Amino acid sequence: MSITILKPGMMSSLQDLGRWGFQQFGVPIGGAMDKVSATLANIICGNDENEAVIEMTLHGASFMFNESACCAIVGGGCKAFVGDDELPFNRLLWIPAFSTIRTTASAQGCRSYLAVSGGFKVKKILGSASTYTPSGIGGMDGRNLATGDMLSFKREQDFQATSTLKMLPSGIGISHWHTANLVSEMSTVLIVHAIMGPEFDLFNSSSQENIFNSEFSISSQSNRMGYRLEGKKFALEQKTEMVSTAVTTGIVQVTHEGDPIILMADAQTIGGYPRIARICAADIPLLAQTRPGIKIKFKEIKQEESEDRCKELSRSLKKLKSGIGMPS
Amino acid sequence: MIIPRIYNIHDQAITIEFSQEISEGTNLLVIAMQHAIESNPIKGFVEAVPAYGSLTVYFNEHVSAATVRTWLSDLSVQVSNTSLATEGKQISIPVCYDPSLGVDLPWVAEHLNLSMEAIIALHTSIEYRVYMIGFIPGFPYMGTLPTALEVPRKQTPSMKIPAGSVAIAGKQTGIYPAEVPGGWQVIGRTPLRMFDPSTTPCSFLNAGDIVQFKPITLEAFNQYQ
Repeated sequence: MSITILKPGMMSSLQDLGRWGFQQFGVPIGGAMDKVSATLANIICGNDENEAVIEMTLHGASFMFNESACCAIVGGGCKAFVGDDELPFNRLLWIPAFSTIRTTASAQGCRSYLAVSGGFKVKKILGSASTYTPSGIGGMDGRNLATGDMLSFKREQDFQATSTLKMLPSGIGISHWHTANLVSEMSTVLIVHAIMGPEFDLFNSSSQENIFNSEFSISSQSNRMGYRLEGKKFALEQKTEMVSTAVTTGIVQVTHEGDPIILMADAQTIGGYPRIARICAADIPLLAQTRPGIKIKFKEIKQEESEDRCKELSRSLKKLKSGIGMPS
Repeated sequence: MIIPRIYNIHDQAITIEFSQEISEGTNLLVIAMQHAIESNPIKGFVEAVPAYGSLTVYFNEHVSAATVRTWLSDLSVQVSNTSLATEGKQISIPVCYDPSLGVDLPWVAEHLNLSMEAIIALHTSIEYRVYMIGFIPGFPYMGTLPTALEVPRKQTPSMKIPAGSVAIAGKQTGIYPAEVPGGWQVIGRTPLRMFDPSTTPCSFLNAGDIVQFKPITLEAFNQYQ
């Protein structure tokens, strides 16, 4: 079984939950930008949570299903169709052989994840299927997906999975149940919970005040490595050259020009810029669903609250898992 | 003894910082700490990432941040009290300093008011410590460069620095493992592969290794290919 990429869109790549254990050699964790949506897509399909999924950016991509198969799409940024039938997100879908899934832009979100039941057959590099293009490793030969790429499935479809689906006249099946949608909860100004960063005290007083009290807009110069923020400029009280130390997803570092950058999934392992704040790990998926131009504001929280928010997220994911397949 | 600073950089990553300086003594402590952690990890430990003067520990939901903090603090006391022998490998790295590969060598020579031969002699005269691997997979940050070789980074970074390029900046020297944009001054190139995901470990060099550069001719360099 397989699917063929007809159009890769602006950027589509294979990702899993990241490449762990090699940061001491400079290899970033990477993986899905929105790991909650990627996890959900796999859970819906009955896969292992760490199975490789296709991460699509903004308006999405189009695929041909070469055989009938079950899949799920979770996230945002696009709407998906087969013919005239719109495919709902967050549900298990049965796609008949030779159907083409095409997508159009939607108003909300930035990244959508396609998982197939059984999972894609992807060679793991350093323990992960995640594509990391700067080093050309993982996914499809270390690069983003391109027209004509064919992705085989790891195992054959379990046909029984379709028995609980509502069948449309076109032959498409849709599960009665669905999981919660992260993206629908987004507001006009996204509130992101953040904690003071390791070098917060080194910034001048206006910077310390502005980081939690001003609005930023996500710059178009944002990618899987980081989101550049437009808004107030930031500066240290005294100019100091930092000695490089570890950085990771969620760190808000300030460049010499004074612009904050939030490090995202492909963040390098070591960095030398002062870190004014860091994002609560539970808010990273939401941030991954924001697109350039979106306004965000940091709400200061303490470490304990940040840990509580992370625990809450993992609890709700566990609850979702146990509820999959139940009627809504 | 150094009182380290311990702080979160992520809800599941904690840094123990011994110093904000580039010193061999501190880096020895960092590496000793890494080895102590890896040889007897706490439940929930994922990985440890050494930097110049700090070590960052990643963990999962099987352990709390508070437990990791206490563990790191206790361990740092134990490690500080033991002798810190260098455990890194001694590695000789062949480098061709021909200006066709070390494209910034003429600029560096002019800037430092030295001959190209003098620069090569200086660069190969001492052993360097690999303080950490970072920037991109397999990139070693090495030091400390002889004072006479200190040059600033490029005003405008080069768009493409070829893989294997041996470069200098400030007190540091490094090797670009892949073709990337970069701001260091390129003075030579090694035919060795610095990063290969199909080998174990994937990085040719490791934090704590001791490196000495060995000059080779353009002919010898080409024979490596």
